Amino acid sequence: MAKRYDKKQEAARKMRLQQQREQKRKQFMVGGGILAVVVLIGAIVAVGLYLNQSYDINTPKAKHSQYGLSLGSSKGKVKLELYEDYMCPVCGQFMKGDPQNQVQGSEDIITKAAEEGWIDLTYHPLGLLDEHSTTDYSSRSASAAVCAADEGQDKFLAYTKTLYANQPEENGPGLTDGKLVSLGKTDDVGLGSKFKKCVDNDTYRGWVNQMTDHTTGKGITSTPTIVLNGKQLDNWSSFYDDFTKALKKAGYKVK
Amino acid sequence: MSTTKSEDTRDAKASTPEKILPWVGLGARLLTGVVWVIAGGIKLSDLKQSVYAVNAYQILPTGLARVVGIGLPLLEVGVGVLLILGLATQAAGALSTVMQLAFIIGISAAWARGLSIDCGCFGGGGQLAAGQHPVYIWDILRDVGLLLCSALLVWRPRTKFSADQMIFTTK
Repeated sequence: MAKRYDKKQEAARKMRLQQQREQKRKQFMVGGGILAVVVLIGAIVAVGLYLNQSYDINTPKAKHSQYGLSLGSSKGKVKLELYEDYMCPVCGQFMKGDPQNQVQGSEDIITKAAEEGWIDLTYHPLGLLDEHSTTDYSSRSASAAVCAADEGQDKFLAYTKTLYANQPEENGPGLTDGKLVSLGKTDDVGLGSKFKKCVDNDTYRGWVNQMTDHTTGKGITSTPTIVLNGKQLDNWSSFYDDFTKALKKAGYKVK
Repeated sequence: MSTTKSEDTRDAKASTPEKILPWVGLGARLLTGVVWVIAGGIKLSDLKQSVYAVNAYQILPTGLARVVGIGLPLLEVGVGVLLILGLATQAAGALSTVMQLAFIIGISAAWARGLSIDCGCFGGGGQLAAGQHPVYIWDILRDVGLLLCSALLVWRPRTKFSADQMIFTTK
């Protein structure tokens, strides 16, 4: 009698275990299903956000052609196109000069020629080297420069000079948006709260991206690229002499 | 009758830790869940920064870093909500464990390579300013703690006040 009872009990225990296992299995499957649904929803939202990351394309208030800032004067007899990137160390050398290799910096003569109206200058501040910083410094600095251009070419040229003077190292974090703003507010440049708002809102990221795409589409993929009177220079280091010659030839008193 | 009694005592013996564990599990669930929701929520409020923070680890190529920078905060919030509700606890705990493990590896890698970055665990992130020194060990210890909490939920997914309990318990 007792033995039979044990058997019955044994069977009941087995069934209970079986049920427990069954429930665990069910719970595991349903749990996995719920998690999969949550991950899927997350993935869909992520793709949406990813695709939505493109910036609005705001055309600058500064004078501009379709894909570049128009500086100097359209009546200037020398035509110059500059393609630069504030992240690019060679652009820094080109603009500031390289005393070690006896290379004359070009920013002063470009600034003077633009302000005197000697040249018809199209300046392309490109966002080409975003992968050379962890924070898309190329695009951020270029769009900040367009913000500066909105408030006059003297501001743009002074800001460009300041950006090169404070150029961050490649493959680092670049300068923060806050630093980009405070550099614009220095006495050398003299920008204010309108500029800060423009930078904080990433106002010209879209325009800079579009300009960069257009430029690489034309086959210009490295900086600095210089087109003087319609002719692309083979080597930027000859620019200073070539440019001075062209100005003199056009009748401007360079020195 | 005597056999029934002995079975009762066996159940009672087994249930001593079984009584405490669901409460411990509840604590683990809420702690981990709340941390995930906060961490993910802060990142979601500035996705651009989140992408930069991933970039700063210099592990993933830029395109993939962008995907992770956007996808990870969403995943964090999702896992966090599941854990707080106690819904799909075991699966969510497993994913939580894997994610913590990935963070620990990422931070250790940054440490080993001598990078000077903010882990970006709760928003922020990126390179530290000159003169600032990273204290990776605290980030790692915190993540190890959360990893253990998550692993507990994989081992013992039955916890108090969970949606799972309400859905699956048959009476």
